[in-house]
Amino acid sequence: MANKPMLPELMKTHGVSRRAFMKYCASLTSLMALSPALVPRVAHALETAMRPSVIWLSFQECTGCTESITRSHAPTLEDLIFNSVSLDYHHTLQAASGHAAEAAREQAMKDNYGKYLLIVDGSIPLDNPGYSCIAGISNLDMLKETAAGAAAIVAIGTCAAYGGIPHANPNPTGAVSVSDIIKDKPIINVPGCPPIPVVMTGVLAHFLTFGIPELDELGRPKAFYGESIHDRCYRRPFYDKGKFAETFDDEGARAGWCLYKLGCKGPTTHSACATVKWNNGVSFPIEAGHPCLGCTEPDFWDNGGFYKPLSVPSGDYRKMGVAAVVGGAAVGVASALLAKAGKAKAVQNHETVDAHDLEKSS
Amino acid sequence: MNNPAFDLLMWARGPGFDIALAIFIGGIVLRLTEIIILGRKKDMAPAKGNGFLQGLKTIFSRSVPRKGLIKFAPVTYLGGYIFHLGFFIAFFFFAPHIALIQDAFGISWPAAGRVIIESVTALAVLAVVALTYSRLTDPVRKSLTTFDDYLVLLLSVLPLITGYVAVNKLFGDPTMMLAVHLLSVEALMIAFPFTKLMHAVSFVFARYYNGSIQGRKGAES
Repeated sequence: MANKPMLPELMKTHGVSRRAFMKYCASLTSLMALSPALVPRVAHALETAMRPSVIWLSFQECTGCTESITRSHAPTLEDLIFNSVSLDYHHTLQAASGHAAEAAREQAMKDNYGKYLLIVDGSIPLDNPGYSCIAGISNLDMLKETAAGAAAIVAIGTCAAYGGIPHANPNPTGAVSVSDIIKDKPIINVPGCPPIPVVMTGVLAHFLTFGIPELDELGRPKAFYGESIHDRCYRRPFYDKGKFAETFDDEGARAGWCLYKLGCKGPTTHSACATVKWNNGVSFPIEAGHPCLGCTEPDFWDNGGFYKPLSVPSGDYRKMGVAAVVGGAAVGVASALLAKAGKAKAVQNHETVDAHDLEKSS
Repeated sequence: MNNPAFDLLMWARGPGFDIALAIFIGGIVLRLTEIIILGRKKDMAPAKGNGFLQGLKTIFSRSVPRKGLIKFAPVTYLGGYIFHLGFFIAFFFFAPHIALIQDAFGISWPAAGRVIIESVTALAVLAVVALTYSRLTDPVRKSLTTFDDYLVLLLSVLPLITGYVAVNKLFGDPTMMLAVHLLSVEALMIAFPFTKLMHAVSFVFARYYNGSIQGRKGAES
């Protein structure tokens, strides 16, 4: 590990200039919502970072998060930040397999006990350990064992952060998130399906330079998840003006109007998609004409339907409405008939009284 | 890991709405059926005018204030109109509400912009404050006001306030505030058939009855 090249050497071999590196540090600093005065500190910290050992565990996941981070606009500095850590264990990326791979993990844990960074993607099944095993070790056991010696844990992707798609109703494997199991280590949640590459590298860079970033109540770094998609959306002016696309191919959709009525979850979703965007800042789902699914929020898969507006009830409420009409009418008729019968009975039982009768009774 | 605000929102959008809808619709239908079946005592006297037409006319004519009301009760006059119009516009012309109506009945209409919706909402809230103030300070109104009246005022104004807060993210978690907004509407729906809020439906019948009785007698109403 010690003989692995440091960041300046990696930059040289990849043909990245000092100017490009400083520019990257400046954008990273602003992205992390830090003061511009800290740019040199970020650059210095990245250049001299101690190259911490990183163990990446993949559980019930689709490898989309790894695809996202490795297919960030390569070859870029983000790759280099990623390369500047010593990734000692990662199923998909490592050359070793079988026992050799597990030996690498054990060795890294032994050499860096208490200091390594643990990255997890995927959820952990609790119903039956056999649902997801690696080298015969259940996900739960591997997570507990590896987390014990970690300095901190980064839960990459919504599955690791909140249980994600495996956790979706009816949750057949009893899937849970990392924070549901590990309670005694600092955990940074980086949700998204997948998360934005620069957000993942940004969080890693922050960890390398200034330690654990400021987190919100759902464990997400505030710098990247502090604002809602809706508040930063370039289509927001159309929402404010009351102009909405009604279908995916109407005039409003072509004119780029708000997608709220097509089910956009932007108002309740916190992510940097609308500002940082994807594919080197090219676009993001709403810009491509699709409503936000809300993938950085817990239980986004069970939010009542991707194409149902937030204001529309999630259940089959029409049946309930029809039943209420029938039930209400039936009770109303019964109640009215009862009142009529009571009235008729009262008329029947009514005894006429004249002044003489009243005198007699008094 | 769960987000309590999101879970509450999903409850309010799911089972919460279903329960409120069942009580709202069931209660309205129940009370209307009772009113219609009980009917009125048959008037045996020969008709001197057209009760039906006068009844229909009265449904609308009673929405016009009678002369002198502005001097006699300015707060009720202005506050009443501003609140009703504000509530009506905010409810029927805010896009997310239209989306709900569209999903339920398949009909929709153009939405109003943010400036209009938020202005009428703020005015409607101020109107409720003024109406409540007049109930609390005017000795006659105060003695006429029951708990039911204060409850109805509170239930009517809460959706306006919580909606305004949720849309503008004034305070609290926006997801939580959206859930609170839905719950406040559901509270209004549940109370609706069993309080004076029912006037929003029953006014048609009450005005028709009054108008037709007068019309049959050949009197203005």
